[in-house]
Amino acid sequence: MRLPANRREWLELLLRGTAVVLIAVLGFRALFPAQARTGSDLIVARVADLPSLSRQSTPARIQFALDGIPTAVQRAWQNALKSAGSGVSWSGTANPVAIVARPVASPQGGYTLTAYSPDTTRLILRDNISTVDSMSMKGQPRSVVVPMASGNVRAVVGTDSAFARLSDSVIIGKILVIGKAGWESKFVMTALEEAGWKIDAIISVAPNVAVAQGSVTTIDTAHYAAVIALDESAATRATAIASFVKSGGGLVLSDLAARSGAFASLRVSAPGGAPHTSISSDTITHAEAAFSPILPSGNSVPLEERGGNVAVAAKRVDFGRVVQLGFNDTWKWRMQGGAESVSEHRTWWSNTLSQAVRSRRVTVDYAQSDPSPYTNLIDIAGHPVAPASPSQPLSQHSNEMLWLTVIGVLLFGEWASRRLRGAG
Amino acid sequence: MGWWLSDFTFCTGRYESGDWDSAPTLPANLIDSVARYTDIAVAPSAVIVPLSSPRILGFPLVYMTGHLPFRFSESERANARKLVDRGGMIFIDDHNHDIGGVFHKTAVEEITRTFGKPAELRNDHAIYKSFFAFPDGPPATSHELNGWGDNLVHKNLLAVMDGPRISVLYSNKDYSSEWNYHPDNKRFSSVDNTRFGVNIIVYALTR
Repeated sequence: MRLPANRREWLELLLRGTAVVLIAVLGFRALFPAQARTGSDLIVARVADLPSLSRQSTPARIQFALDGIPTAVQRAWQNALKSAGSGVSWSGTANPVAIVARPVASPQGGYTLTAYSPDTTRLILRDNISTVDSMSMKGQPRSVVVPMASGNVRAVVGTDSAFARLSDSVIIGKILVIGKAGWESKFVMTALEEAGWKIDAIISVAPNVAVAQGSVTTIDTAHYAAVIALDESAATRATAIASFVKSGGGLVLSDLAARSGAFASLRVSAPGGAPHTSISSDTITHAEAAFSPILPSGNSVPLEERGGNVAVAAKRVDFGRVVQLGFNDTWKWRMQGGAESVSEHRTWWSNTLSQAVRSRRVTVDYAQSDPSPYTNLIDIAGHPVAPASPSQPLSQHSNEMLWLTVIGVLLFGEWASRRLRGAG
Repeated sequence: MGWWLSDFTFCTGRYESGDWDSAPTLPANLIDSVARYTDIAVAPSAVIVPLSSPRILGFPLVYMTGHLPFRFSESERANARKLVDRGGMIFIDDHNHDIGGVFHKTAVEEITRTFGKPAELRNDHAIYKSFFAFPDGPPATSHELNGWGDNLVHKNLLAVMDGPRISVLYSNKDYSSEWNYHPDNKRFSSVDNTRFGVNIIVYALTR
């Protein structure tokens, strides 16, 4: 081999030699990854580094430095790395947020959106079109009923969000009203029919004489979504109603019906002889709203309280639900209430009934929902840890690009020098 | 009834313009019939409530009658409209049973002004079979059959409808005279002539 004749040729040789050495180093790094080469088994990375991480051989441990909850795709990628044998952890900040959307079992439709964020934060609910509502979170889940929403609903806290896909509408069967002829039975039926419910009714008028409305048939879940028992006249059908509830039907028991011993196994609690509470300034109406307080039992859930007493409560009975009312004379709300009393009475009954009815089908596409991304992150990568030392490479990919650039400059310099001096 | 559910209370509406109290024993007679034939919880005494009072809204079936010109005051008209809009029913009976009489003319005018124009009620309407069956429509009164008043047997009642439901029922058959007697005297009748009154009450309570 001929030695360089002058310093210029020595420089060209140096450039070429350096480039060859760098190429060799790169080849070595490709064959022997960083942690094996350095003895460290931890890579600190960002979610943006997921593609380059996946091109490497499986790192022993990866710590992601996060400034928010990764997307569902990124979390799936993290989970894939975990499944491939990498230990996945994360550091940084992310806002826990979750949302559930359930269709209201009512002909008027709507959705109950329940959102949660543990901190005292402002949570915003959005659908595909606009902001739906906002709420101040105080460490407890909060619910809001919206009459309509479009596409997905999203709970947003800061830069993080959870979203739930809205399900199809529920299919609701007919309602059977059983009671004596009177203003309560008449106006309960009127209110529910105005709200769009399909009603059958058995209204007792005289001994062995009842006015039937609709096509009254066997009390079972194939025909009815719920039964409303307004008074003791329903007691003659208590056995069928009990079977109906246990197989998944709903039951609304007025105070009078709950007093019947025939409903002892279904009622939330036996109505006591407590004095009635009359609330002249009641929110639903300015009419008389007397009720007999319900004494909650162990497995009951209070649904409505007035003046510190439970006015409406519910409980599960096998597969069905029972809602017990402390009220008997709700028709007075409608007739004697304020300007909006008709719609308030209608809405109250529709909402109360919707908590008892059996809805036949709810189609939820979970695959397109991300209702609780934070818990999913915890499930994959555990709770956040303290940030690891920044001495570890943050991005293998960016280093490789730098090395290739340097090699290119060296080879270009060597080639340009040779061409300028006329060498081949 | 039972614990404290309100009983049905028969209510006579008092209006300012005429002789609203021209059939004072009718309420007791109908209360007796309702108690006699049905198990509807009915208050033993009727009430008289001014139509101009908000208390009228506590009585979703209101009966009115008279012989004299029938006009609502503004407050009476507002309450009557509110009662009907919220699902109540008003039954107005012409105590004169004459189609050209002053009560009939003014009452129909007032009904039209307040609720809309009343139309003839088909004689196969549900009110004619809500408890007792009246296949021929409204039962004739003895006053009609005796040729008093306009010497006509009125074939139909008039009604203002709210969908399929009667919200205002108007009669010029003079049921107010027909039913205005002490209930003890029913024993002298082979057929109780208040039975259609029971139908009106059962209809109001169930539809």
